Amino acid sequence: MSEFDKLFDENLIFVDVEAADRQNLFEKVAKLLFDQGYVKASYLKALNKREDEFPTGILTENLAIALPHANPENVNKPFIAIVKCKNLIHVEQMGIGEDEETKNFFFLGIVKETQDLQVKLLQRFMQLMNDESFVNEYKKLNSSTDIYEYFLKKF
Amino acid sequence: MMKIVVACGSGVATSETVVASIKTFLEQHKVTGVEVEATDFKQLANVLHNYDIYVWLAKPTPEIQEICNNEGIPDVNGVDILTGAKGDKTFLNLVQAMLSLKHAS
Repeated sequence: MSEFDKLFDENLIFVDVEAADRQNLFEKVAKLLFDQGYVKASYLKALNKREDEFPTGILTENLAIALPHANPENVNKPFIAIVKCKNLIHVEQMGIGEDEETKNFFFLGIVKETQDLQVKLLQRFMQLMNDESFVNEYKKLNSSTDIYEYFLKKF
Repeated sequence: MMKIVVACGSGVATSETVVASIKTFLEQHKVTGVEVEATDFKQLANVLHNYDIYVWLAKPTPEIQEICNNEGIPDVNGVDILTGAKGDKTFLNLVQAMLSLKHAS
């Protein structure tokens, strides 16, 4: 068991998600999170606003990803929701605001109480994203269970 | 004491991660006397003048850019530090900014 294990939840891993665009994807994910009690009703609006103002797309060495997140006051309990989309979704890159197309989303639900641990998780996550073999294996995984077990093993 | 500020939209996720990465890097290289803090973008304009280096995760707005120019605060792209994708060169811009200040003072 690593200290990160409790931050992952198999019920928050979604594969083959179909969405027309970013807004549509956020709507679907926000509903799933809300139904499981992870976020407040204000979450979707806050998430979109945050992404519009400060985009979270990142072209890592081996994979295009996005890390959407809203301010802690919209979150009930910490989570990381892993979403693999069926089709490419347009986002903007963090910092420079340039275009990016990605299927790989990691929604971060951060609350003050577990912030330190979640920051460590994010550091470890970025490390793994630079690891070509980790990313190649991740790309092949196509079920929630497989992804969940893979992350528990690697983190 | 040199002070570095890292700013993102909320000041809780990516900016804190970059702060942790910079602190680790400084410790590994036995650099002392540097304070690294995270803030959110809303507060940045009010506090930026207290810092020597600005690490950004969102493009500096004209207002922020003006403060940097007036106060002579170098700005560094923090996304490279977040991803660490540039390997050994990840911290190059930050180190250059720190050296430029050292030479100025």
